[in-house]
Amino acid sequence: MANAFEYFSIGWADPYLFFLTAMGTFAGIYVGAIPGLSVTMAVSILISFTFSWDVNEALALMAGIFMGGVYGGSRTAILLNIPGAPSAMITALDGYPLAKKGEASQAIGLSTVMSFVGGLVGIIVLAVAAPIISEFTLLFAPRDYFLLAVLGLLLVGALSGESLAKGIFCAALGVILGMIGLDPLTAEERFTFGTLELTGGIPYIAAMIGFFGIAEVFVQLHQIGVEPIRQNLGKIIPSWSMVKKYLPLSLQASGIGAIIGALPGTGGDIAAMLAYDHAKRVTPNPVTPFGEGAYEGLIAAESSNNAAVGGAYIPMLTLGIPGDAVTAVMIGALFIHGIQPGPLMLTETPHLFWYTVGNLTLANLCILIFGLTGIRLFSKIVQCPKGILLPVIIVLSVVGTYAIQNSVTDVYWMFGCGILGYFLKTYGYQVAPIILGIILGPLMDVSYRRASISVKNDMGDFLWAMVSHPITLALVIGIAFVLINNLRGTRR
Amino acid sequence: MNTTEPLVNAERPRKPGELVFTGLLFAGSLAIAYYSFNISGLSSTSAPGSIPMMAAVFLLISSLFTLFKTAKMAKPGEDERFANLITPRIFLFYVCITLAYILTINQLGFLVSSLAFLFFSILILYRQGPLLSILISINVLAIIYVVFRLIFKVILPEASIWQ
Repeated sequence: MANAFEYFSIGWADPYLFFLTAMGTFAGIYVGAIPGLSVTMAVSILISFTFSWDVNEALALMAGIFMGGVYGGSRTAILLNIPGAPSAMITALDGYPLAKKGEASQAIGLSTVMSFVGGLVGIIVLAVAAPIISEFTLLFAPRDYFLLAVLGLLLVGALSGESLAKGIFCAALGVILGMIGLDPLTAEERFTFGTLELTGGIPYIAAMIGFFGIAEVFVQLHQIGVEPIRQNLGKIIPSWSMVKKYLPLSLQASGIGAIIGALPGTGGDIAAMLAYDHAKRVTPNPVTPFGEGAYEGLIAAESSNNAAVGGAYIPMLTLGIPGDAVTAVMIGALFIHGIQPGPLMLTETPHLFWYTVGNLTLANLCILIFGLTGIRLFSKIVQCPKGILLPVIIVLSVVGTYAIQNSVTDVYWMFGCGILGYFLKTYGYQVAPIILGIILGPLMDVSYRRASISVKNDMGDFLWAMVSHPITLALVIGIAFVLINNLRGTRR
Repeated sequence: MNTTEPLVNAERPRKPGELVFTGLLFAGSLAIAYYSFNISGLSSTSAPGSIPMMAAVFLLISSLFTLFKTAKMAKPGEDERFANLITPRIFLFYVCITLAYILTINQLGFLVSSLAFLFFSILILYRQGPLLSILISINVLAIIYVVFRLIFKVILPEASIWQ
């Protein structure tokens, strides 16, 4: 235990490592906040020049960028309705309406504090439960991952806006978009139409930037002459009574986020969706309806997506499996530095594990400091004339998309998704379910087919497995619960 | 009518072009269903076409339902036209200039194409004259280039026209 604390405090005690973590957090916040850029891109780019660094320095920087980026994505989600990271999609649902009412600083202040709470919970879960959770997730069978993906898609009901049918359409469209390219199991071409450009599929980040960034720019063109909302900067730091009021919900959402983040293949975006749905359930009569500026929705999303960061480190460090796209990049970086993440990491190199926990804790504290002190600057972004802001967003979106694979084809996809997203938004469709479908579609596909193969394509055995295994049965019950809720919501 | 914020929980009238759009989505769903079936047919539950076909079924059902619902909605007002409400001139201009930007970025390079895009966009959208537009464009582009190209070392398209 004494050794664990010693390793935990290395990043705090060493001035240079402290500086790297703080700088990484700062950079992550601002990169994550810029519309058109992504945390994955920031981590990918920054990792490239840490290859020659010492491993401790590289880990310190990466932890800061990850934590900061996830938080930073919420800023533009609140101010501009353009999530800077996938995990901030849900934040925009209530954050942006709050900004339109002139409550941006309160929204950002409260989301900062709750992000800090979420981050702390995620780190505690990582430190305490990593060995236990890693053993539990080993019990998940492919059918369980399939059901988890179905559960995630059913949450489209919480995101569907004016029509559940439109939400289902967008989710299914997202699944199809996620299928484009080569089948991961058989390398068979799907929806490629014989073209090389489609063989690699549509990059998820390009689609996200297109549907959220470009489409939103086109939507904003209709309001080019509208005066920007002057934000009230009176109360940035939330009152203790406000924090105390929402703390129970924040802790619940953080717990959801940490657990979901710990599941391989799922990340802050899915955690935020589940937490949002939970918040709707436990808050039947909010002061402001969900989707129109409910603080409960904002807090649930922000607490959970930051908690998911700590959770995502669990499979990364203990199983060597990425928790999300960012940790996938980080696993590659660890290999470059000669570190083998996996079940033996905690036994062979425990100092790295506790050192990482220390870095994440420091990064989380930096979020609180930078987040609360930089709000005025960010609030001014919304006052920037749209005539300047919109073209800049387009250019940044092009830079961010091009940086994925240095391919202008990705930029074309981004533009195409932007046009489609504009018309979908105009006619009452929500684009968030599309991204949900793109994320979950491949997971659903591979898991379902692996589950089918394991029962030799016998649907009887497949269905029997749904009720005969405890974890599977729990997921089936969860799906039934969400389905009934969705249908009840439609009838109302 | 606000084109971009549909009424929630209320029966709203149809927007111009909405019936055609939902019809196109249904037609697209039929095409997707056809191509999904062609991947592997009904050969087995673990075939590559299984999940695409499942998704295509949901696409078809939801788009058909939406099409019927849209057809039943009240027609848009006579003064609400597609060209004015959904694709006003500012939208068409911006789509064209963005398309021109991304189509020329490889030929002209990032700096030239971005400068041109920013200048014309800010000139039309901000409407403060060419001098201010070019000054803002240069400053913004300089910041973007320094941060992304020099500090983050992001590779940006180089002009192929000179090669």
